[in-house]
Amino acid sequence: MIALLGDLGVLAGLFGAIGLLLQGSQALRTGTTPDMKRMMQLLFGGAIVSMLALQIALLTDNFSLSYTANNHASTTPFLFKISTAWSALEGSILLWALMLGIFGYLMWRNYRKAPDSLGAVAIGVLGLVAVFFFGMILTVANPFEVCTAAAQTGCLESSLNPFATAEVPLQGRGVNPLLQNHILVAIHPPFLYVGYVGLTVPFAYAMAALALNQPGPEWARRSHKWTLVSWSFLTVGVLLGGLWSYEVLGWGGYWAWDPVENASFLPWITATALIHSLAVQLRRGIMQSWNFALAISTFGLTILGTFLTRSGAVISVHSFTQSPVGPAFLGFFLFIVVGSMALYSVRASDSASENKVGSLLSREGGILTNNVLLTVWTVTVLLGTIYPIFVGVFSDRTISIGRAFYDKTSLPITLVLLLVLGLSETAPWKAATKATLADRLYLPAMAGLTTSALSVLLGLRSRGTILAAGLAVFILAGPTLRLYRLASAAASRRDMSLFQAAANIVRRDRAYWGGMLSHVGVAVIAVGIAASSGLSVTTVGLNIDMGQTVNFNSYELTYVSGFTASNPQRNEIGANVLVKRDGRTIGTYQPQINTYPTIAIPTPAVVAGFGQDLYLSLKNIDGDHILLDVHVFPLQWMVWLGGFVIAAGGLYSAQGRKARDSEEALKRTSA
Amino acid sequence: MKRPLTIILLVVVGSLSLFLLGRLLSNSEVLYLEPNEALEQKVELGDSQFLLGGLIRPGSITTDGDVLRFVVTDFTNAEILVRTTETPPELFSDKTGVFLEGTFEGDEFHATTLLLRHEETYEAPTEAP
Repeated sequence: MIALLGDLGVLAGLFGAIGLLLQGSQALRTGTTPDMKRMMQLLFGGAIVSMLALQIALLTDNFSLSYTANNHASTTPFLFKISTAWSALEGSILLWALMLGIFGYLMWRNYRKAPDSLGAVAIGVLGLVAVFFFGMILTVANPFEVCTAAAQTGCLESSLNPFATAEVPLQGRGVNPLLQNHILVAIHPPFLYVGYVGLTVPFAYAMAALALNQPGPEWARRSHKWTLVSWSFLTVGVLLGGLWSYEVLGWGGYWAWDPVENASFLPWITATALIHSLAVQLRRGIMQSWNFALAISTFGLTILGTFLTRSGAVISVHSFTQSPVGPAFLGFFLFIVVGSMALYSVRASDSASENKVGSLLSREGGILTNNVLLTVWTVTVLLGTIYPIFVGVFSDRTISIGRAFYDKTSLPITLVLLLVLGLSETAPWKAATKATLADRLYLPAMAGLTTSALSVLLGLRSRGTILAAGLAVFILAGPTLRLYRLASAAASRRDMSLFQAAANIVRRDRAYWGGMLSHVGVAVIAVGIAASSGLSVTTVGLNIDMGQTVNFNSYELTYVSGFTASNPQRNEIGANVLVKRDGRTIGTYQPQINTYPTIAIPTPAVVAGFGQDLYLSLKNIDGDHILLDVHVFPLQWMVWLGGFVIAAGGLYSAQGRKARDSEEALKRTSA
Repeated sequence: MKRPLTIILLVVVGSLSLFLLGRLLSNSEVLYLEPNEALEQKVELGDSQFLLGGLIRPGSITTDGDVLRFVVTDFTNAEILVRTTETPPELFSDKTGVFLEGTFEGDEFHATTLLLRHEETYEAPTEAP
């Protein structure tokens, strides 16, 4: 029953997707604006029905589906029952399809208000992408396969036929323990997917503009807001993954340059470039050709990333299911790249902007420079990620690229990025006079230099941290000074408080000041990353007997007692560790090991602090003594705060493209 | 016309950075081997660093002061004794893989880093424990 309902939903979605594709190509041929309502209803409705069917199956512990039998158990806590819908391959592809439905519906709502062929063709492109995803759900990644041969727990064989006679296991295998260990991992995938899937929208508009040979600001205008929103969600998604890794996995870090992590980071870098250069195109009518290329490569990277994580082509500590989905994604990736590049090269001469960047000493000059740097960074990370595949193809060696490669290349690139960011974020458009630049940059630069100098005087020896701190203050001070000057001028002119004046200025140009908020986040995260990695202190295998006190860094750690707790789905074993710092008691913390039927996962205790985090990871507990890995990560909170501020700035900025208002405000601010 | 000069400059800078990147890439290469491959190539490997991936054989973990030893195996049942001062995933069983970076020292593999592999697929024991 539930299998039939799910499959019908998928079929409806596929049908709707094909319909949209056909209507889109009709619009392309004839220039008409078809009514796409029915087909969009089928696509979106079908995706909703399928996801609901899967949720019902999970919440009612219906083990007749092999998906529930193999990824779910009746003892799974409620929250994780819901998140099980995307914790395994088939369900996560369904979530992807649902997101496509949501973004498609939103695109259609804009189209309905003012139907034109650009909108219709763009929806057709989204339809094409949806055909691929629904097609995969129906064939190689179907979460509604009926279990035809049950094991004691779980399912051995299954059938795509929804009418097959089900053999229902008594109990399911349960969701992977790692994926029910912490709430973060339940919400990390949806955020990541909103970001990933949302980047289909700029791609769709870019392809539509190229296919119709309608270059100009319109496709960029429609893409910009969606790119900002998707990019913000992608930021949070990547961040939540790191936070989960830090809070749950207990290896004492949040980012390892693993191929799977890179897969989520690569489209983030190109999307970062895209939101900036789209703004330049909208403002100055330049960089259009570049924007087409960025929109295409960003979307291409989301598909390539999924191929990398799903194919087993690279060695990764994150081992996802390997299935026929891998080759399917590779095929789709090649199709996208070949198809869009062909279209792009045919139209390239028509899409090149008439104007050129006049002077590098301008806001667009800085954005152009950083676009190049971001592209270099993308190519570098991409090379490191896929290089092992080429080595594997051309020789019989299997290799992996160590972290050092990424650390070595990323450090100089990001430092220059930060510098150019600080130099150009307050610069006027078109061309800046040296006097204007000096006026806006002198104080921020002095503040930055003073910070670096002070940190050296205070005994800081980590070169990365010293530079990052100086650049961060430089980046922070620029827009702060600008806002202060504008606000105090407005305040005296209009007789209002400074705060009120500042709030008015910000509200009138959300696009710009949202961006500045993101830059504040960048400054904060830069310091967080530099300090937490450059100044960290680590001791592995610290042995503490019961009742004994051990000194580490400025802390005193006492192993007070052990504890055990039993839950239906897991057993917990852990230690009560009393933490004192400089003689003052901070509290009792409980690093623990959660034991699931076949696997044990250490869950660290993090003593978060303003100055630094103390990170306790229990490695072993044995009656009278424990073995701890202990880390100190200075300013770790800045990594999380900075990341969320970046995303918040993006969302705030996305509201602010109400054309006329911001145009005027921009004129005023750049006058 | 400035254009040809700009293009030449770009090509030179581009190829130079690609060359440097390539050098850095091949320098950062870490060979990945599973136990059976590592044993086969033991002579050629000498004391060079590589990444060993496999499964910890349950019950093989022993401690000797700070030094920990355990056996890493694979699906061909090839076995390598690993010595490390890193803390091992004591409670991890044969369902969990490890990545170890290090070198052969005699018959032992000396691991300087130890990473756990976390899987998405998960199988509960088919027989109740």
